[in-house]
Amino acid sequence: MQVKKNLWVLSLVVIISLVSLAADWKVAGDFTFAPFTFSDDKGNLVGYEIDLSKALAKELGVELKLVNAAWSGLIPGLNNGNYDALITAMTITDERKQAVDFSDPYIKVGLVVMTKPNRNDIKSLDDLKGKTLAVQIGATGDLTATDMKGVKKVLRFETAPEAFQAVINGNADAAVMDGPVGRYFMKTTPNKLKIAIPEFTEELYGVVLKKGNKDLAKINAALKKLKDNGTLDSIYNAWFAN
Amino acid sequence: MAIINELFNLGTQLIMSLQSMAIGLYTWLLYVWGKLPLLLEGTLLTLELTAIAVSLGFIIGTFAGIGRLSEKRFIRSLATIYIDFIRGTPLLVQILIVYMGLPQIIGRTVPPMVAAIASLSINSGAYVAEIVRAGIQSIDKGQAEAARSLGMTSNQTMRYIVLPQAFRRIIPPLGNEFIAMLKDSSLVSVIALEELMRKAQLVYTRDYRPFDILFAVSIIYLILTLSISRLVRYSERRLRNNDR
Repeated sequence: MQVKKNLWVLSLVVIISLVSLAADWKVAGDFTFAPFTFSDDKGNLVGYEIDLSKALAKELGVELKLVNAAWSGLIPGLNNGNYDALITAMTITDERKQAVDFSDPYIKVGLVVMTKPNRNDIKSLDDLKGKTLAVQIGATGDLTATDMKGVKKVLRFETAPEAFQAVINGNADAAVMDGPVGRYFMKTTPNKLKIAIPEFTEELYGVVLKKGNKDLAKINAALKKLKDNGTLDSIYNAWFAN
Repeated sequence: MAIINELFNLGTQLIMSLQSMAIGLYTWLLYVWGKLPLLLEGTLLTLELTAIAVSLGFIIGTFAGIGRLSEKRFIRSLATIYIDFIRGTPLLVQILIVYMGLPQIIGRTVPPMVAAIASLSINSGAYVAEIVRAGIQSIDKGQAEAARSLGMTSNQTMRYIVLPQAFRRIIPPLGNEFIAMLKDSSLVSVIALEELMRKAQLVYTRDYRPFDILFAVSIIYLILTLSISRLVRYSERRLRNNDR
């Protein structure tokens, strides 16, 4: 009799954990992208998009589960069903729209060109001719740099800090990177890099979902609510106010 | 009658699925054909890196392998430290140390290609050293003793008697090392060198079809490694014939 009772309890536990697992909202990202998604000194995940993900999950009434993954594997992982969504500084582009669905944008940023502080020969995009550029593979910085005419070489790294390091070490002349990421790097690591060319593109980030995901409308509604009630602004100010 | 019907249905289904498989294969081939120039470019770099790293690694490894058997304690411990350190740390860490760590010490830029060749060949050297040592030790002591009693110096004994015989024996494990290096060279993609694996990533970070391109890449790797192992077997056979 006792055994039977235990079995009941056990199966109840299993069922409950299965149900709660199903309710988990698995959001993946490349968590090396400060100030959007990164970990602090203690290893806690922090950043603009971490706060955004938490607010969204609360609004949607789901349990948030954050997954750290390599940038180049994010969209393949999403389409395989490994993750429910990507909230990871991903610009809405026509090419990506063919592979995934995007929510309405939640932030507008732009690409910048960064060099060592003592360089004065790079002032406009024309000056990038014959230069070696460091980028994150598959990011819009990569796509933009690859399309630039006359660029000598594009060095593609897995993470943004590695691309910055290549400029600091002298293996690349400049890095093409999302503006907030460059500025945050300059704030935390002073005197290593400067912004040689300020924002020269306009990019919108959106929540990334697998094509045809029914949650899209719900997420858009939640984003709108966060925008209307000022939550989005206060998260923005927490990370980007000077 | 029902059974015949069932069989007929099964047959049509089979033909249809074969048909869709053939169409799938055809579109895959068409897709890969379009990416082939890019992939071959990467393959060339992979082969280049592997060939240089294994050749340099062979030279380093021969010296380190002999060094481990040296009568001088200093040389012996130097070789042991080198082998232990390199074999005891991940290749990925070694590549990043040479590329990102070294410039901070020497105050100069290390170009990716130099960093890749240096770290790969130093790494390969440690493994080859152990192969060479085992090869030398496998040669019967009588050979060296005979050479010495004929009046050869220990240097001459090593160069003319022991090493030539040892090298013939270590060809199969050297072939293994070659194949391992070919595959391990994909790690240099972290320092932005676009060898075969990185080219694949380049493609699927743009069109998001990882399976198609990775499958193609694995076939290319397979062709390369199979050719190497055939080459090793061939040279093994030729050298054995020379023996007679």
